[in-house]
Amino acid sequence: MMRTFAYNIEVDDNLQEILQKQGLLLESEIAKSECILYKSGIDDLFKNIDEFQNIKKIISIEKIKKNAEFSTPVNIDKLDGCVVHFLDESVSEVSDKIKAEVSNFIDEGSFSDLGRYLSLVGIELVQNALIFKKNNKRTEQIKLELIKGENNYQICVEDPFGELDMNIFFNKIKRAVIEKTPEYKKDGAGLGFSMILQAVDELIVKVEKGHKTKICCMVNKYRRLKDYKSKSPSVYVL
Amino acid sequence: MSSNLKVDMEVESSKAIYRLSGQIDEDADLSQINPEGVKEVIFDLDDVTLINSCGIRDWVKFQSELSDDLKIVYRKCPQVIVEQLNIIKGFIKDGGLIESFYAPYYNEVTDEEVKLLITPNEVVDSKAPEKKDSDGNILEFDEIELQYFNFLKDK
Repeated sequence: MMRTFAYNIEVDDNLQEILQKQGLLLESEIAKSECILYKSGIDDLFKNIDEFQNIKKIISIEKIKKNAEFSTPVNIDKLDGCVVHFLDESVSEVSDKIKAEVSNFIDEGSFSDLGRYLSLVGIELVQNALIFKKNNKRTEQIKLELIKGENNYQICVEDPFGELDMNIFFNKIKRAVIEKTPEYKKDGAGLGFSMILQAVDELIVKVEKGHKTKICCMVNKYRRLKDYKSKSPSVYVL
Repeated sequence: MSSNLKVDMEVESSKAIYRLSGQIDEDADLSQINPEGVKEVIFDLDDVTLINSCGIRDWVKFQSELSDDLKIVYRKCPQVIVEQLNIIKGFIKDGGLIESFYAPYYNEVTDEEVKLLITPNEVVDSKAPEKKDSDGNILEFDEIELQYFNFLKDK
């Protein structure tokens, strides 16, 4: 059972039963929890939670209403889609490549700006990896995959470094959310990740220390902007 | 280094109008916006298509370096800019005036999205102004009002 902290949620018997079926056990202390369940507004959660050391899942209660398998992310190892590699491109070149791929890949019927949000997610992820690569004088390629599912789009970015520290990752997002300001830091200040988090339904991170970091973002195929803006993102650390 | 941001400038007596088009990112050369010898600067942002996190950082720094004596106006802010106005401190210069911005609407009859240019004065108590299509059908505001109009709460 995964110890779960319910943030700002009143847990009744019905919810407790659902959580148990999903292998989630309620825990009153965040420091002992691996999962956080939240009601709405992930920014509010990041503003008020200080302890992310052991967190493996951050899940919106909205997912419980929509999906019985809410505690399970999309499978990021069985995905097959369009692949683009990056080596040392400028951000303009990265942007042009990603925007071109995304525009070919979006179905008709989604709201018109969905491509822009997907492109932004891809640009931020690739740019982060390229900055790390440059700062650490690495020479390997960064891989971006675009995958079209039946009901969603997925953008995955993989680097061969495996250096992402999830505690630092969460705390950078927290800083960006609280201060609402960009910072000058050579390894990024969290604003990009907080923008990504706002843009996706699921953010899935898999780190193989020293070997690989894979970040996969899933966005449902929304027909309306308003529905897209009403979503509550979930985070999974595999 | 190539840039996806284009800046056109027009000077009218003591006023400089800068029309930005394309993408604001770390490759964007904001130093080409150099409003010397004018009292008023208008940023026409109609054709800005994307801004990434590094672009936001550079834009905020650029705004902070503009002279406090300048009157600064932001015109035709697209949705991509409004989203940043709502979440980033310092995205516009203190005292700057937002003259107009785009708001997303949806036409249920034709199943079409429309972005309509509106002014801050049309938004009262964070409620989107009522808009109709040419046939008189009422359009539905296609965002979350409290979020989208958050930047106007202190107006």
